[in-house]
Amino acid sequence: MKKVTINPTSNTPKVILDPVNNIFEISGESRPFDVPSFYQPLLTWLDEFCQELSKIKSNSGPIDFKFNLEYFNSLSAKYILDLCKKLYKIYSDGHKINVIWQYESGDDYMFESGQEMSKISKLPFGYEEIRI
Amino acid sequence: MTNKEVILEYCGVVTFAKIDRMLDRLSEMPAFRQLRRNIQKQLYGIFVECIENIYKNTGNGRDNLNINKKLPYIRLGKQNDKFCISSGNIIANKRINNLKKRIDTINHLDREGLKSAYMEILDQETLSAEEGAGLGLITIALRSGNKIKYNFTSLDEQHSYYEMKIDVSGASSNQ
Repeated sequence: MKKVTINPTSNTPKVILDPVNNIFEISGESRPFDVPSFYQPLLTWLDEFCQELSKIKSNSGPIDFKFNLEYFNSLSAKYILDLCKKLYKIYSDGHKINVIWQYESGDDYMFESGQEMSKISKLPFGYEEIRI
Repeated sequence: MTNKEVILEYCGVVTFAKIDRMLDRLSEMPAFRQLRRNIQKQLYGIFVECIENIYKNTGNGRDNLNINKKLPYIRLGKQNDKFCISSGNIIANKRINNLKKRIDTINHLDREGLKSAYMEILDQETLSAEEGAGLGLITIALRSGNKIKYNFTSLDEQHSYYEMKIDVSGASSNQ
């Protein structure tokens, strides 16, 4: 599958979806001008990735998916949750996936947001506190 | 004695580019940068939701005919031991009842209730514009830990001026 690389801007996060090198990352700030238009292609990509994986009996190693968000607005939260739901589909299909939710030290709101995303999507998260 | 300080104030038309510039300016301001990082993030998060709220209510040509009557504003200030973010914009009168109900419901919820409401909206398949606005208001309440104060002042038969005020504690121990 073709990898996705989106460079960050002041209002959109950096995105890497790279199955060959097992780098999956969404990081930075998320408050795009048009939130659905930014996230919809990523959701579609994950759907296709999920179909690709279903053709493989067992994947060689776990998928490492990292969220390192500094800030996201309320509508982005909805789409980040949708991404987590797609990742849960991969997980529930029997593929190993490590989701790491990074948050800045002292940013309880971001930490709790990760817990809520994990709870709703039923996808287990690992948490990493980043000291700045 | 009351100690009032305005950290950032803007009055005028809100465009998406203007939001970007305003947030850049806020992030660079010494009065903001000297705050503890968690307070910065808390204020930034509420400020974004408030300014995006103005943009959604007045952007894309909506209410442009009335824009000269009363311009939108947003202000981040500090008063004694708390910060205050206040905003104002024109709104169609037909939207007021729903908005009042929504804010009153949010103001009656405790933190756990707010989280449940937040998760319930987030978990929906699609969000209407009103639900999206509700998510923004719940986010403001969750981030601030305080009630959302509001006021509507009638401008004419079809429009009112909608003001919102959010207090954020912790100004006395922020640096």
